[in-house]
Amino acid sequence: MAGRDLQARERAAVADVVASTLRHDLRNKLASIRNASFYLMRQVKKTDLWSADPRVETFFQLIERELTSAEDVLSRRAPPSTGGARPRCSAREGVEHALAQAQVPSTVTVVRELSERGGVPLEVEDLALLVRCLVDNALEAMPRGGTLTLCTRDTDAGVCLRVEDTGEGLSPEAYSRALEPFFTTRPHHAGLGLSIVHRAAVRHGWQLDLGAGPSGGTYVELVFTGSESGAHDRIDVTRGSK
Amino acid sequence: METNWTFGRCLLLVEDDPSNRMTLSALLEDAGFAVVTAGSYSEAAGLLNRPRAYDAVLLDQSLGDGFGTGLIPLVRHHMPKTKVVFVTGHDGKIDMPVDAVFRKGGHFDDLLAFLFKLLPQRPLGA
Repeated sequence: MAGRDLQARERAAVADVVASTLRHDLRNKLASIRNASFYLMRQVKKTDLWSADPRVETFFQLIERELTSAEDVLSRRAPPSTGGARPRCSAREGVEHALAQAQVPSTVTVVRELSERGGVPLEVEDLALLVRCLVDNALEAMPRGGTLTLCTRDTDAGVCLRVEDTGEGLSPEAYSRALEPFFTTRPHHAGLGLSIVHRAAVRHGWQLDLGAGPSGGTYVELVFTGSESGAHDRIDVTRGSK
Repeated sequence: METNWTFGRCLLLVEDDPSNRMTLSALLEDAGFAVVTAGSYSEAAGLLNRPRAYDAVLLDQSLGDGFGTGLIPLVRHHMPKTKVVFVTGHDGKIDMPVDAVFRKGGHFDDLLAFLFKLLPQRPLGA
């Protein structure tokens, strides 16, 4: 039952990333069309054609109107849920949920260093989904086995979750693009796991950091800033800084 | 808005989408700005390491080979008086260490009015 719930949340998170990427890409296209149309209109206004054929102005207005309408469609979002108690869960519970769902090969040793006392402002299934994304990435980085370390601790900013592998690490280009949707260094992978985590971090204002660990593998750290007071809007995304 | 207020002002437009880069730079140049363009993170970083009196840097976030936010420290270091405008098509609230945020898809006249308010009265290169 819990597995099905996690799968449903994973599908919803993937759909959210895909929809957001599509909205962003379409906005780029609409912006180009609007700018090009505006430029052409200003140039045509300087010519006799503008006054000779009234449909020219009408059609430019039509383009503008339809662009505005398309923008409205893109910006239409489900209203945020209101009311009810703010969710809250234990980080180690989220870690254990995620590990129970993950397919950890026998060649990988799992190390748990779970020392946090504070809570995380999420439902446990949502936290488990984020941890699962990070765990799956870490496992995929160690095809010949290694050590997967999951660490939780309290910091001044909030609970910190760190997932680290002992794989071969990422190239500088892969570090700079790792959070992009659909970016992957492995064939047959969608490249959405880190995007899901990134999107959640941006939405909640958490700090997200990834870089090379002491073994040369990759770590991802997520600090649930504002854990005690709930989510806020600061975005702080860094990478490769350690 | 004053006329000719764009004269003598130089903008750096960092945008990886070729269509957006072409149309926006055409409109900005048509409005009187000198416009330098960069189509990638690395190209922009190269330009920013050769300081020039840009009045503003218009910065896209997703640049293919990096993120626009990674360029902000370069601007602050080399050109502390230059305004950084984050031009984004992303959803949600943006809270980044920039001087202003402008949403993609808005009218060009709105962007002009926005820049008029943002930029100091005298061009930095004057």
